[in-house]
Amino acid sequence: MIRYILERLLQSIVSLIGVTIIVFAMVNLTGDPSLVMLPEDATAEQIAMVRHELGLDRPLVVRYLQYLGGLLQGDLGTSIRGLASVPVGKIIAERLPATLELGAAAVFLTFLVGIPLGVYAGYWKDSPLDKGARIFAVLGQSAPPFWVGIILIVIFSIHLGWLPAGGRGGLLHIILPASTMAWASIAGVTRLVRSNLLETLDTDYVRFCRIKGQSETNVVWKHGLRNAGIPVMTFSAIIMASLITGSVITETIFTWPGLGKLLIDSIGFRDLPVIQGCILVFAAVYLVLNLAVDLLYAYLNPRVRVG
Amino acid sequence: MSMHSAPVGMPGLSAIVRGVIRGTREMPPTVLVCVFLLVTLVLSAMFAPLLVDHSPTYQDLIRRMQPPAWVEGGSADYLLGTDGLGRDMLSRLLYGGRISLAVAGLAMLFGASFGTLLGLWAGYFGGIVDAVVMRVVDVLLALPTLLVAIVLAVAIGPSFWNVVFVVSFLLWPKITRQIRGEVLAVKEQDYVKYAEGIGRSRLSVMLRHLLPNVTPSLVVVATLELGHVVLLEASLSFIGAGIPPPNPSWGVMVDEGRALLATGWWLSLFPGLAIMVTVLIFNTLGDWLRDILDPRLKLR
Repeated sequence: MIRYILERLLQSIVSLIGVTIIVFAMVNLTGDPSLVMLPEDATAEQIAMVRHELGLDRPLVVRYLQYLGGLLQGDLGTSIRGLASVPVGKIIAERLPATLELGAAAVFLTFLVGIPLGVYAGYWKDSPLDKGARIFAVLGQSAPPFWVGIILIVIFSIHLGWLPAGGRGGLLHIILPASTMAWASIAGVTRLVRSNLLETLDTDYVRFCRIKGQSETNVVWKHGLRNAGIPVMTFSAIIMASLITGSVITETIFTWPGLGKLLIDSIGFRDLPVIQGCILVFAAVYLVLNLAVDLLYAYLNPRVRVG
Repeated sequence: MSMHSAPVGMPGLSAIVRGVIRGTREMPPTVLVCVFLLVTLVLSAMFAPLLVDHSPTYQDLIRRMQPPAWVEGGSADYLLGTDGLGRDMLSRLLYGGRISLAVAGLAMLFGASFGTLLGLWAGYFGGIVDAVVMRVVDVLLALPTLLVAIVLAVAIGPSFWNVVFVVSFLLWPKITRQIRGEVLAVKEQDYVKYAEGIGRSRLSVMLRHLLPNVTPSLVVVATLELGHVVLLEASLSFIGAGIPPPNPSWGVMVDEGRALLATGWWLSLFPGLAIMVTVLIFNTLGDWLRDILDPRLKLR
């Protein structure tokens, strides 16, 4: 088990370093930020001066190593947008809570709706509820999230006027963006819980529980769901990935002041340090969550642990 | 290590054809509908210029924001209405399908070819190439796809071929991982050992014996991935990092409709539906192909 943990840990670190390389290389292809910062009639000397100040005249490898060195000390660089040089770490720290709030709400919604829906659909197989859940699951995985968000706005904000279409505020503000983000993952969880419950209900130990005379509620929710839950947990890594990437689009649609919106805005301003920082934080969160899920899975499933 | 022990020779293409023919006899109605829809989609994209009179980019501000024909105020001239610049929605939708399908098809062609060759190579030869390739695959697959796509697409700028490049770049690792895994199993088979034994070159073994045997699962994975590819292109175009306007891409159209939500619900609705139906088609067909071609994948 310890060997497995160490291996996975090392793998995650390698991935994270890979991320820094990819992000650094990609971001440095996006064009020269000094051209965005300076007026159009800037002279060659002025451009050279700004490039020198920003360190853009040094070789790529040197810049990468400097960047990596800074990262290790917790320095994500300074934003080059506007005159005041604000540390990227500070900007991200300001935006992160909003994204986490939205992400948590979406995860909550996913399990709150997905698990019961999957259980009922699986238990009453081929009932109208099951058919509805299956259609919903298929549609959910096909509908583009950005479009779902727009449709929700049209229905609930524009036509019904029940919910605000954007911004961060109280509970009402989070309902639409969280539903948009959760849409696809609810579909996935429903489908997975349903099919796994169907399999589990067909096993000997569930039959045994029934023979023993345990209540159906107990059989389904305790024994059935617990065993159907492991694949769902593995799937949660995929859910998180979809939530992280989903936040970029959802936050843009609903003008949610989080990391995803920051990223898209920064791309418009060619604010390289902020772009790097955002991607890095997203990737780090993603890798850590993935690691946690894998380890939890190994803990619950001895075959992985030993093998 | 196929359970339906593949015969010596060329099982690949003929196995697929046989499998599909066998499966077609008992094709579920949903799959039948999807095949029909796919054919319609491809044909309407191919023959878009013959099907609609209006140009997808011609602006007619006098006729802007006309609702679809069946709504009050709509005209039969513009079946699905017009957008904020007076462009015909139906022709934009059809031409948009052209772009979306072309991106998906080309990206799949490049990504799958590259991924397959690399997977064959890594799986068959093993060693240092395998180790390096698989580490790169691990890193790439460990990243949130859309994020990488956005950064990459922004880095090289929005254009048709750049989108194709970005999407294929994100596609190949999945194909490589799948193919490599299959090759690892297939290369231990007797007929591969036999071909090696009688002195076939490794390249010949790779292309004539391994490739045909991994083709069925390649077809399955590729079909399932096509749905993701369409979604990815649409998402990129939606946030302005994909197909540049005024080209009618479905993602761009949804975005353009976003600004006029309050007055024109049809602007975002139709292109979004088009994306959804397309993804649905590929997912359904992929699931079906998996069931009939490769029962082992179903268990995973």
